[in-house]
Amino acid sequence: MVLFDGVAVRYGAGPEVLRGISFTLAPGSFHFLVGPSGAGKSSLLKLIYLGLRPAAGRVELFGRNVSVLKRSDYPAMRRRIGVVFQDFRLIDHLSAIDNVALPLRIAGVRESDIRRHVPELLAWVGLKHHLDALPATLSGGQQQRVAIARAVISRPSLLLADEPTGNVDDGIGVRLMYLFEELNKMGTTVVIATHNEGLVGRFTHRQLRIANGTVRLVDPAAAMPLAQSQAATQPQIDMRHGTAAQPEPAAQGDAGARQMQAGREYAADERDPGEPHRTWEEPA
Amino acid sequence: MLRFRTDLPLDRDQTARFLPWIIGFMVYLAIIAATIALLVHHATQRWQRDLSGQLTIELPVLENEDADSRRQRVDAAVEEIADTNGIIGTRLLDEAEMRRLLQPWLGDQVDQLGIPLPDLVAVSLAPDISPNLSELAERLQAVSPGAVIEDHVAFNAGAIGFLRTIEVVAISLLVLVLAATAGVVAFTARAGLSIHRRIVEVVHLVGAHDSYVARQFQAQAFRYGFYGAFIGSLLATATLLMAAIFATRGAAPMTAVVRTFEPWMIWPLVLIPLAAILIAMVTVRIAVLTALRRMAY
Ligand SMILES: Nc1ncnc2c1ncn2[C@@H]1O[C@H](COP(=O)(O)OP(=O)(O)O)[C@@H](O)[C@H]1O
Ligand SMILES: [Mg+2]
Repeated sequence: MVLFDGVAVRYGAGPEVLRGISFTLAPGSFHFLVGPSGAGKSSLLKLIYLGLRPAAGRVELFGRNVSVLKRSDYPAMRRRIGVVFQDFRLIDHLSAIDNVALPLRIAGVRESDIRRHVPELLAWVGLKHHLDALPATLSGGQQQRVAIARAVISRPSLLLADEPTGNVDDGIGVRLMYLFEELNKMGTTVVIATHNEGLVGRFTHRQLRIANGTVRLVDPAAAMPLAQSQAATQPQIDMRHGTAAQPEPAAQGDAGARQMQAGREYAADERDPGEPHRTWEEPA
Repeated sequence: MLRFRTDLPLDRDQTARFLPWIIGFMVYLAIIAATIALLVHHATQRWQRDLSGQLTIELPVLENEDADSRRQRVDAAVEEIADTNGIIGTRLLDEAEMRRLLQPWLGDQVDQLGIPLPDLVAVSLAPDISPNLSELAERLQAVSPGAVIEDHVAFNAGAIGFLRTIEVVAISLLVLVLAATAGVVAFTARAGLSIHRRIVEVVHLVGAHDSYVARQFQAQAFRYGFYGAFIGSLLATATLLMAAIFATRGAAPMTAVVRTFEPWMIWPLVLIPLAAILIAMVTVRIAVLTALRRMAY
């Protein structure tokens, strides 16, 4: 789904922020992107959602090398990716409902479908009573949920969330994580960038750890149940080895692609807004 | 009226606020320029058509000449004229006709002036051969001394040249005004694009094609172009009506040109507003698409 090979990032003539980044994200996988502030998490996500060109190396997205894409190819790629930006990037003069509807309108979805699905999703993230609110009138946490709703409304096959729990307390942060896990179970590949080690520690998802401008893979699930000795000598699996150990089977890739296709057809019945334990309580 | 929900709040831009008025003014200027060009072009053509193929030869009366010898002299001169290669017809003007021709210059008292009126010969020219007029003039001097060949085309060349200049200036003005409209519209679109840079970026990142962004600018260009076209054509209609009223009462050359007005000459009033809207939309599209293509991603 995503492949990085020897990728480097620099802004303008500045120093390399990231270098020698290599990893793959298998379809349906769930990864944390962990590192302190300024480590380059947002920059790495930008590379994936085609917001930044690599200074070196190769980035493959959905099996295509992004450096050979034409400008007119980007929209189709980006429509398969949902992004929760660190600063939300909601459009100030549009209501919550119009902000969430934006990707659908851009994709040319029928207005009647939009009016049906968008309020549903907003209700699901606990914003039933704020459909027409402008972003400026919403709290940070509420804006974040609008941003999340916008990222998932078109059922992307890849979800990138940049510090999605940054503006909320830990309780809500964990609940947001359940939301992402739910999406992951429905087939979405998820990458969550965060500097919150406490949050990461509560889950067993694989971690892409950024330090000193480079990235390595940590797999808590693989490290723990296997021989402790192995975990002790090699507690962190280098990304390149991780790739070799877990080759991405072609068949799996195909299945993922089919799944994406299905998701993009925007079947209303797939979403169940009635799940009570997933529904957000409106904060008082 | 004409409002759509847009992702880009273009209508709030200060730079765009005056656009309808600017377009209105441009449309106004363009209509006036185009109408002047049409009117002058048409008048010039008609004038040339009427005058070309003709010239007049004036045979002054000689001193102490009786009626018989005058008639003989004039007949000989007409024969000499008709005998010229490239001249296909001659006609001696009668007295009533002469009086009518001279009246604008000499007034109603033509008869009371007591000056002997010359004989005038209207000459029709062959369309393809131009007669050797200097050779004809020489021959005429022998038959009827003091004969003057009045070449209308040469005589009017100055006037026609002047009208042609007006026409060229009017057309240049029209082209300039339309180009300036395109320039202003493109500039405003670029400004809007950089003001709303962040929104444009978001819209792109959630999967918009460049044309999606361009369409929003085009919608604005259409509305502002429509308002501008409306304002401009309203003002132009008022101006043209006033010009028509003043010109028909005014000085002779103006009157002559304005009298050549024909109903089809209101086409600029219809076509230029439409052209302005079209130019605004096309320019905006090109300006936005080229600017977006220059963006990094
Ligand atoms: N647009 C930019 N221009 C220049 N430098 C940038 C830009 N964005 C990020 N950086 C630099 O890149 C480094 C990584 O930033 P970022 O990717 O935002 O890290 P993180 O998201 O992990 O906090 C930082 O040193 C930051 O200053
Ligand atoms: Mg960041």
